[in-house]
Amino acid sequence: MADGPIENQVRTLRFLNGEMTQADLGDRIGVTRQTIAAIEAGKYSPSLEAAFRIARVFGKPLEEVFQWKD
Amino acid sequence: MSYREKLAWLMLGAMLVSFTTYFAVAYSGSIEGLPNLRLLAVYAGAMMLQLLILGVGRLFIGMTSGKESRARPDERDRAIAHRAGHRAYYVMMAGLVFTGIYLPFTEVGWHIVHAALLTYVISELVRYWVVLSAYRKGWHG
Repeated sequence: MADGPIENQVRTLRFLNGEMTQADLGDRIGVTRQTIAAIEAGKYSPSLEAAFRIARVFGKPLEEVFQWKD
Repeated sequence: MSYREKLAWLMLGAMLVSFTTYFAVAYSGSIEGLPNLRLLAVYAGAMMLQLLILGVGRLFIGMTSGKESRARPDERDRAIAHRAGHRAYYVMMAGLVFTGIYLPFTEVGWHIVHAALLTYVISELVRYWVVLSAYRKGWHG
């Protein structure tokens, strides 16, 4: 399956936020570490709710975390 | 590899081993006559084998996966399971239509039972294959 149409800055933002681990981020938004890894790798497009939760963890607006690829 | 992906591999393997064994043993002798106690015994043995594989496998995966094995499925797990069930449903329906509408005109007895059983097995294999494929290659809803 090809990468989805959404790219994201989750990996970068994790490192900019005290090198937060995938497991920590997953715990904070209610998904597994593997799901965070899949989001970062572009293998899974999260639900709108999960996307907003991730953005809120980093204190960023949604469009700074997720971008639509043209 | 995630806990649920490991479980899908386990279930796929258990299905393959138990039903391959069943069909191989069943067709090594006579399958005529209803009821056929030999076939029922072979089926019971295959189910016991499947339960044994699943029991030992789940125990091993649970011990090696730590707290992840106690976590509830998240949104990705649920989306993948839903997609896999959806695909398997079409396989199941096609097989049951073939078994229930066409086969009664051409076959009798255990051949029809086995066709229904094979339909179930194939639909389950499709389900686990879609699950594994989605975990491996990705899933974009």
